[in-house]
Amino acid sequence: MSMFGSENQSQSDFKKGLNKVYTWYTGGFVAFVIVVAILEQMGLPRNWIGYLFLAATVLLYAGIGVMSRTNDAAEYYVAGRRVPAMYNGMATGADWMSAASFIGMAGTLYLTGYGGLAFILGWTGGYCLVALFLAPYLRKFGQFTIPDFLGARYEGNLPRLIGVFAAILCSFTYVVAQIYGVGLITTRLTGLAFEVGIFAGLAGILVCSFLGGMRAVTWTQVAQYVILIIAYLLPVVWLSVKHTGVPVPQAVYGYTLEKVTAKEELLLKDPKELEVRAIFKARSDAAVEKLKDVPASMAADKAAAVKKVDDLKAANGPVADIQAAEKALAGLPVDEVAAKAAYTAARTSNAAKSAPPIRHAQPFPGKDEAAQDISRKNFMALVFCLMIGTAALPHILDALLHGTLGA
Amino acid sequence: MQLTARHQEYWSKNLRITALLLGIWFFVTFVVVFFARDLTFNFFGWPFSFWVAAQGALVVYCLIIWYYARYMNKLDIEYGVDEGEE
Repeated sequence: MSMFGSENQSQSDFKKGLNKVYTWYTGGFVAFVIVVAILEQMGLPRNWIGYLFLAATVLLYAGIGVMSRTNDAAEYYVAGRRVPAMYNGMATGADWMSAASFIGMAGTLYLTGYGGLAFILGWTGGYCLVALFLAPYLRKFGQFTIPDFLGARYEGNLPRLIGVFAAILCSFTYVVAQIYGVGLITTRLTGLAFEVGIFAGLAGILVCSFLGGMRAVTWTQVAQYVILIIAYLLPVVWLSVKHTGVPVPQAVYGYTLEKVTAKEELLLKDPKELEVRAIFKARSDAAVEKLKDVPASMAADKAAAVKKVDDLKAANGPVADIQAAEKALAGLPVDEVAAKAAYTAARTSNAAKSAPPIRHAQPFPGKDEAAQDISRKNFMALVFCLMIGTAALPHILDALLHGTLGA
Repeated sequence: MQLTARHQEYWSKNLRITALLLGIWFFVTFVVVFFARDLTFNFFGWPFSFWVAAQGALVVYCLIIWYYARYMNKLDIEYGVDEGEE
């Protein structure tokens, strides 16, 4: 009845069928993108492109959900365990490239350099823990979820309850971030309000998961993998060809990093940069001075603002300038608490801007030995937590959500 | 189920390979990261520690998982506890 494997079909036929389905699917995806690109050239409004993509995604998920409908528990939870290894790998890959890594990772690495690699190390290293400690035993015990495994292994409901509690705790933290991502994407694509967008996105996920269970999730993940890997590779390969002439960014971006480091060296010594940093330093120092006597600073600020308005009016200055000065006067903090908060914020943000920029490839930046050691400890702790967290995640219970959320 | 000597042997081999691979995992993750500031010699353009965190460690992780799966499959067949063709 379904294209994703009927009851009495040999494994190799099944695999051939899958290959065919996903080849068609990949071709369809590329054709869809080309058609949308042509329509865009012809003047299709922007928001309609968003609607088209969203509609295509929802239809795809619903279609996969309907086609792999199942009533059998083994099928529902672990896709009947007859997913060929290659496809299982693609589904797991899609797991890795979930909402957080797709939306946030490139930006995080760009901003924080070496510090951002903690996420890469942690997420990937966690899979080692899964492979060594969790997956083989779950499989041998024939259990679908960690709580079930604990219940079977230690014979009792208490271990099972502890397992459920831990699973919900882990999944909740993780799913919150993912659902936020889903909301962001839906909002961006449809122009719906964020609160509505979240529910629209969730509705699609639920429909797909409930219809087909793990099997549908595995097949949607493979579908996502195809899209994600194209979306990841295309721009990076393109950039790599532009900058180095080699279409294998993994092999050559070290040389680009060398150039970035050389530019950073220049930037650190650039006189104009030093001047700007000195200005921010002065502002930060001024805020520190103001914090010493908040009421007096408030009075001084107010006097200065009033004087500016009066001066402008006396000199018959432009209306826009007068209005701006009046607005600044009205915007002054009303009480001591607000003033203190404003000065503290000014001190912190200006101090941050006056610091020398962090070098991209430098591990554990810090102004002295002690600060660097703290930064190293933080990095290692983050890696460790991410590894444990990842190891706790891909168990089947939340893979139900996890899979479809990965968009 | 009564555990035979063969079962014990299988289990101790399983533990040994797990411990070994976990040791490698620990080394490429935490030992290399700990000394990241000293290991910044040029490695095909990358500072070495940066390359390890960005690519090297990930390759090692994949090798660990691949080797474990292969080793355990063979061990399962050798000790007659494999699941057979599915």
